Amino acid sequence: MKAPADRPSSRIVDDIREGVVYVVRHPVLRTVILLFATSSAVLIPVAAAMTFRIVRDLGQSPAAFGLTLTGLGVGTLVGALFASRLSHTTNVARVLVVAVFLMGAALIGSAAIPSLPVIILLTAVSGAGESALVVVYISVRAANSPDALLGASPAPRGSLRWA
Amino acid sequence: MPIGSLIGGLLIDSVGGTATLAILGFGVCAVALVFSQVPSLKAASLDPASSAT
Repeated sequence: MKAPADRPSSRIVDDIREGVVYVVRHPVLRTVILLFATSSAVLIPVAAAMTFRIVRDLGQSPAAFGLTLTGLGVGTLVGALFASRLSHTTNVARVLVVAVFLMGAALIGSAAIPSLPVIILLTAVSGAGESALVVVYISVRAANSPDALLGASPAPRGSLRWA
Repeated sequence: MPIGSLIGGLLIDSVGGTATLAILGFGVCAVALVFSQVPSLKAASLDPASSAT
């Protein structure tokens, strides 16, 4: 995939507007980007909350928080490996919804069960869901965007998330 | 992100880390449940040929 060399120059504002208009008018992209942006926005404070959960509420050492991050890393790898095996016939909606639901359920479990090994395991589950969500989201975005808009179509998601 | 961080900080300060985790977890599950009912999500595909426009 390479941008054509003879492409007329344009202003970045116009490129962003073109990407936003394309996404707004595309029902699948609009919904998938909204799902990803919403779940990402809700998940932003998780690391801070998990720090307080483990260190203050459970009285564990800061190293225990590091172990949960290790669990997150392992789970992320597993989720990415799972997502890489998906094919064109995959039920994308089911994968996306289950991935988001898994992350939420793992957070509820981490809050309810005061056991460090269980929290590490649940954090791994959350990481698997997160990486599956990211891989499938990016794949759907790429599959539904023309090459010329691949750089501009993520703009609405970025704007929503960083707002 | 600033709004999410602000809300997260306020939650941690007011109810603590454990309750904040639970609230975020229920929030994420709610997002999943809401989007599971959106018809256009069911049309999502990894196959460019079947994309809905």
